[in-house]
Amino acid sequence: MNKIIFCILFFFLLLVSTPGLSTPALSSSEANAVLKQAMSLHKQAIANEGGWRITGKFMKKAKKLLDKGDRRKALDVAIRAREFAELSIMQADMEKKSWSEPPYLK
Amino acid sequence: MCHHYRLSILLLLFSLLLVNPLLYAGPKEDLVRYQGYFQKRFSNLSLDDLSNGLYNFDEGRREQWEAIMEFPPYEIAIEEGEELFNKPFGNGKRYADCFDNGGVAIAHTYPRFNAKTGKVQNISAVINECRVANGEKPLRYLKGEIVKLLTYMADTSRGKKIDIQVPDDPRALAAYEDGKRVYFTRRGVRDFACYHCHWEAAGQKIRGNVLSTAVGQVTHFPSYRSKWGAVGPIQRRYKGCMKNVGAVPLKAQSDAMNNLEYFHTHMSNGISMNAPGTRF
Repeated sequence: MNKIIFCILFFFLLLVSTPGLSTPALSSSEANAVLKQAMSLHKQAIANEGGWRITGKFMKKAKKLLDKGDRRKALDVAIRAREFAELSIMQADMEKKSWSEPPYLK
Repeated sequence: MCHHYRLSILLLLFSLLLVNPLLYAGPKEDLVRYQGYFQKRFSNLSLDDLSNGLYNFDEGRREQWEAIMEFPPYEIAIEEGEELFNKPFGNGKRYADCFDNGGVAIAHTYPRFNAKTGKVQNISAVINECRVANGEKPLRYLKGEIVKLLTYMADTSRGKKIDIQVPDDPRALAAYEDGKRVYFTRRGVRDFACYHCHWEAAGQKIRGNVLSTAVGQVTHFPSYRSKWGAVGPIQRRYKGCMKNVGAVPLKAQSDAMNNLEYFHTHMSNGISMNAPGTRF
């Protein structure tokens, strides 16, 4: 009886610890959609004179991972790229409104 | 009573605005403030000394630089540039026909505001305009033939004092102010503006590099940089700086870049040109 319980528990743990089995499969379209958003925001940042190089690097990395078929990692990296793009736009907008000479020059 | 009081305050403010030019900081007032900052901070250096950049602050590198300057690596570019400058176009005209004073000893007055276009133009832009007007293809900016031409032209201005004019034209002033905006704007993932390195940190080290003062930087451009293994113009250097702070660099010859060059060069008005120069 104990052996049966042990086997059930063992298989349950195996199931939980295997990412491909425990979480629903990711389609490439999810990572692709985030990547597209990141690209569009990055373009917007560059047009606003505020693009960050790191955004481009992360977008490239996400694309490589997608090509390799590592969708989960690709999604994570694409999300980071989108965050960088959002921050760069925020920086550019803020600077346009409030850039100033340093106080010691005034 | 209260009404009169308010009116008199308003009149006082209005008259102050009219008579006190210090309330509006234009290019002339900026120049006094900017150069004054460095003169006060580095009182042992003259304005002309500032054109020696990092070599004011690092004795070892200064010695190496002086040794390099015995046989400057930009000399070939000057010779090749002179040859290119004097070579006639297909229609028989030359570069000299496109510039005042035949293009000799004028580099220290560029970038200039072009009243026809309402925009700032550096020498590279005039070179390409000249080529197109004479049926030649424009050259690519930042590298190659155009840099040799710039090197020769800058050499003919060696020793002349930088003299950037902001004419009495609202468009010129707007271009100057836009250049100021680009200069003082934080950019890149490191959130740095030009002034973070070249004002408050001037004379100090950032990793292995000693930082030069903002005033005096343009005087030695185009410059031979060991990193490039070639002579390059100031806009190539701007791009490098922008990359260093993690920003996607602005496009060479864009309005923003030209206005930045206009503002930044104006800051060194009155300092002798020592271009072409050499830097590590």
